[in-house]
Amino acid sequence: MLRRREKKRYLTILHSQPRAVEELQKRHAELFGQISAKKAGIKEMWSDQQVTVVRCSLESTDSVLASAALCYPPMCVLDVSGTIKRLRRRLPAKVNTAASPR
Amino acid sequence: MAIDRVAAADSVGQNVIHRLEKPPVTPVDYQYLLVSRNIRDAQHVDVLTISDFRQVKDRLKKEVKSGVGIEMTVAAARKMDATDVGSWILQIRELYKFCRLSRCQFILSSGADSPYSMVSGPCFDALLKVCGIDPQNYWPDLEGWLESRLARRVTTC
Repeated sequence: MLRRREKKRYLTILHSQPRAVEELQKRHAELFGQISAKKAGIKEMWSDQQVTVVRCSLESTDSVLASAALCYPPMCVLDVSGTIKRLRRRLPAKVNTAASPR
Repeated sequence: MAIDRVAAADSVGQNVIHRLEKPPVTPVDYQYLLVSRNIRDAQHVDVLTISDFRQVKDRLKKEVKSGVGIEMTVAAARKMDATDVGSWILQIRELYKFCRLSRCQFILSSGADSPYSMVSGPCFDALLKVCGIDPQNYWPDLEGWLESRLARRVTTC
């Protein structure tokens, strides 16, 4: 029998507050329930002052994205990828685009 | 799919659609839509922004003509607690149904006032799915509506 690892998704989040991942976990649990929050397995992978990379399960990606859109203080999901390597490669372009003056 | 640059200082007018509360007096070199929060203006605006659909449903039935965009913003839902977000999602569903029946265009927008409160494409799709709206129908409908509305405007570009 094959033992497949559960697929993950990595999200780049632009935020203005230091505890963005805790806020996202809390909001996800509020909106979708504790069981769903545990299944989503939202975990901080890497963090900067304004940008954080978080990991979640593939099945819960939509609920995590919806929770991020409904978080306060606000946060913005810049990118979604299946590998952290690809996400990091695209990170400078995404952050510069989002932060550039309009 | 992610947030991409849609406009820069040198291309304003080509890709940005401005939201105006009053129509410009002379022809302008940018694209715009007339926006209002007041239902009394529903006859002569492109987009009507509402915050509580249930409160204004009866007035919308009487005063909104077909083709108008009815908008709700995600920014309003960010500050709500979970119970109110649940109610907000139900209202989005009801508004979408109302728009389909009255031939109006349902618009879900970010209501962003900073880069942090912008909502990216994948998040919009996820929110639409949570609200029971198929993004594959929503975006083409919105695009068609936007093109038809902008085609009516007099611009110099």
